[in-house]
Amino acid sequence: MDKSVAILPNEILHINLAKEEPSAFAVIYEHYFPRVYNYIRYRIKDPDISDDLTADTFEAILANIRSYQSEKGLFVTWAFTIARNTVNNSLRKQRFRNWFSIDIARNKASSEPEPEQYHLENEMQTELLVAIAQLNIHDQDLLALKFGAGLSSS
Amino acid sequence: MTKICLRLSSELAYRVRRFLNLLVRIKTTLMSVFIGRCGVCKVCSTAKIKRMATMDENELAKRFDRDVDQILRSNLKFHDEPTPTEYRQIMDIAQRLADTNFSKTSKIKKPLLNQLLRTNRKETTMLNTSRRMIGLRLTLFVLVSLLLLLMVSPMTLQVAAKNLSDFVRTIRVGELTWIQQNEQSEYVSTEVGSLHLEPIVEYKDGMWKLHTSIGNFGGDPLPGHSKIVQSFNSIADAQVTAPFSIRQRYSLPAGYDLREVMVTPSDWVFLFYSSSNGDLVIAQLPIDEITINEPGEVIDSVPVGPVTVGQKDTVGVGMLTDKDVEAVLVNDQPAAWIDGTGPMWESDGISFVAGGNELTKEEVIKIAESLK
Repeated sequence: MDKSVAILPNEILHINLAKEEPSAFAVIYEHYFPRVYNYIRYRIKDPDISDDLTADTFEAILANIRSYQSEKGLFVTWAFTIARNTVNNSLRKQRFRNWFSIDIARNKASSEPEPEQYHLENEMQTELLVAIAQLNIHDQDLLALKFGAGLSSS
Repeated sequence: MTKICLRLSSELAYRVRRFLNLLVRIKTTLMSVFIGRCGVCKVCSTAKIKRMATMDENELAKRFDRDVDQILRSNLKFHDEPTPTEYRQIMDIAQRLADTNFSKTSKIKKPLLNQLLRTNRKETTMLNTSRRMIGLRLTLFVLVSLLLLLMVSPMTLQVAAKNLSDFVRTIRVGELTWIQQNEQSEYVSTEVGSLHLEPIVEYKDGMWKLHTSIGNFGGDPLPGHSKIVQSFNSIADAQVTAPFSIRQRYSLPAGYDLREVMVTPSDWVFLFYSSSNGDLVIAQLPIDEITINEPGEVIDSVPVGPVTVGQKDTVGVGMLTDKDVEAVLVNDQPAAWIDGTGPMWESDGISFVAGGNELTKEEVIKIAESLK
């Protein structure tokens, strides 16, 4: 994790700007993307689903940012509550039986790298995920909140 | 929100108290991966883990939390102090966890931001237009889906990187039914079936595949199900195998007769009707509860408790297509029209797809709306 972006300077200002002008959300997005993605990836092994849930999370953050009130809590806590709920809801509900157009499936099969190559882009990271996957889901969440999201215990 | 924050804060506090024990438990695994590899330390023995567990957990937990926060909030490495060897080893693991950044491998960062901002700009206009037609909820789902367009598959991502204006649309047509569209012509090789094309079944990569006159379909067999697509001459015969009550009361145009019924390993049931003009296909799949049969299917849903093997869970229906998809109404309910295929809709706990290669859009939707 890039420690240099642990705290977003003038965060409240950026949030208030984003409430009025969506383009201002870019600053917040740039700051939180690694943390949100890392949190989700700690909990979801599949990189494609991690991408989906990251998108879900940021969409929800952007869609609801006008309802965020700084006096009620830190933005990071609010944002990761959304991320956490997104992951939990996905684990609980999204047990879709996919029905494919086989043309897409065929193209996927021919155009994608081998699963090992795709998932093992970074061997060390993959082994880390394998190790984490051996934990129960609560402990995975604990590690994700701490090391993925970079949340303090206070 | 306050309650949520407090709950999260409380959970974090509780979890931090468990931190030390947690890392002790995962220590062997992680150290065999990292520390054993880097040569800094040796994998500790079970005896050492036990000694660790007997130390003052509260004191170590506090210190551990403080040290980890220091790692997370600065670029300073954790420096060894007069601490047990095991503690230093655990801190090394923490350091490595903190240094790991999965997001560098993600390809969606830039496309997603562009899509978020672009969609947000369109939001007001699209809402005003669509709300009158299909209701707020579907509109929002459509908008949300636009944000997901780039993340459906690695294939899509590759294309997205080339052209950000290309995307996949998702339309949710019911509580648990949705369809995603890949608009990339580069990846489209849809073969439009000929009139009276007999459905062709094939099996590949563990999937069943069914080529029909209205499109090509496929899926993964459900656990415990037959891996074979079964064919029947009548709905009554198919009903013996089908896991739900097949809907068969439609108002069909004159001249259409049932030719064949297929039950797939994913519980989809296909009804094939023939006429002198062409085929009509009606596919059905129940949105129901399935029993979790395998340990790998266990889902731990934090808010409501764990789902265990043997417990039922509700599943939905998702469909991917490379054809154009648009939002339509079937009986005033949100539905999706798949170009070249027909409507996809959800009714009474069943997801439907219908299509006729010689029927107009209005005719097929009329059939869908006549469903009983």
